[in-house]
Amino acid sequence: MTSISLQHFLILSFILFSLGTYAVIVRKNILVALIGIELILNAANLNFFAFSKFKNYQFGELAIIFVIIIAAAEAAVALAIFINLYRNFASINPDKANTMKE
Amino acid sequence: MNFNIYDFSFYSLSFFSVIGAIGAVLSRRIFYALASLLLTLISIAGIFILFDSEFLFLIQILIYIGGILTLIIFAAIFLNLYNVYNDEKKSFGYWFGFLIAAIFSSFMIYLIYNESKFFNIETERVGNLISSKKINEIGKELIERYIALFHLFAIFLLAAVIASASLARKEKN
Repeated sequence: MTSISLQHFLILSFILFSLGTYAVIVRKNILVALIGIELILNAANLNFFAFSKFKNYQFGELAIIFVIIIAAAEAAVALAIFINLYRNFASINPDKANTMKE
Repeated sequence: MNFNIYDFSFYSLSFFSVIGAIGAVLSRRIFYALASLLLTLISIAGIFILFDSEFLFLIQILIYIGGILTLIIFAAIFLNLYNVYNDEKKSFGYWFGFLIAAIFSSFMIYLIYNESKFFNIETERVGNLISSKKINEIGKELIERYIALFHLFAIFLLAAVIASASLARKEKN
């Protein structure tokens, strides 16, 4: 059979996780930060999948369903928050929303 | 090491998912970033179906691509983001985030690659994989064993819908 092991999955999901972290920390566009959060959740899904495959972790595949539910709810609420942010500050740069300084 | 079609598929799918993630993170135009995210999500769905888990493939396509990605595209259109932002300066946060991502990822990949005994990860092959659950088994388990969790997440989704509707409402005056 194949020579794919658990390590391959862990390395792939860690690359996706660190790219998502980079997007969340660095980018000034808040939609790209949301894309980064989706990447982080996908990395978590890959880890759940790998451990349910290679380590007989029974809850893994159900945990992926719940992670996807969380992602859907988070995307819906984030969209509403972005619309409010755009309405109040006319930009989606999170640095522009600095009225707590005053 | 015999190199066969499973290996080739896994490596090419993971290559495309990493390429898509890099494009999604670094692209200056929001629609290119979203198309790259689509590439990543489809590649991960391909990995799911490669290791014969059809239910995860289905919900990855249906919910992630059909639901969440479409929602983000709708947000990008709604907020008039056709020409995006060139107000990105290489600030403190840029180098800070770059440093954190680079150091942490190289350290973790080194750990996973070299010292896997530290985590008690022995390299198991696909030959003795645990077969994944079928769709009716997942449904049964969701209804019988994890019914409280199921209801909790149903209430959570309802709360998210109400919250987003009330947040996005335009207020009078």
